[in-house]
Amino acid sequence: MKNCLRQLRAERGWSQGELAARLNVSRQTVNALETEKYDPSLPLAFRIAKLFGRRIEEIFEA
Amino acid sequence: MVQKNPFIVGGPRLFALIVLYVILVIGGVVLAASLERGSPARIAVAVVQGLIVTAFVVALFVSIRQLDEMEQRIQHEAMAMALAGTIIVVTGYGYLERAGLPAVQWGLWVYPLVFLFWALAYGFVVRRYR
Repeated sequence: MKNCLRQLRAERGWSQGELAARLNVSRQTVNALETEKYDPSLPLAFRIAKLFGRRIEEIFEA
Repeated sequence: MVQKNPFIVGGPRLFALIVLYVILVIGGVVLAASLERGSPARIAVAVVQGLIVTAFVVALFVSIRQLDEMEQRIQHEAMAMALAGTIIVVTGYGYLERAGLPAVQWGLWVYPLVFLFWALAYGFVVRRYR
């Protein structure tokens, strides 16, 4: 699943570690999300959307 | 709270648990060897060894439940592969035993076999997500 997570994170100047802490996941999970090797669960996708103030479909694209 | 992968070397909590487990199991084997086979004392030692194994497995599963969703998924895939590998080896050798190869005490070997396959499978699965 494609996403713009890396771009959104860069806009806020956060490191992968900072984003991981805000989402309560590991840095490896953030990296796997950004490289599109892992698709998040719905609850995690909602947490990501809420954190960035966007709708899920604005961040993730099938 | 997100914990580090329990298989990463340097994870102090699980490492300490593994060391304690090995000491207790080896100590139990040494102690059991000095006791008469079938005696209540030796049976009691065997029961304690079984409880130690149970405690270790429970601790491992609690540790996995503290991981984040991707790490849990990796562990679950690795566990499924370990189960498949163990079934193949144990059942496959079972047929060979019936064909005349030496009998193996699987009660003792299944446990380390599962963990060997689990560690190997983890190394394989984690590469897909890194």
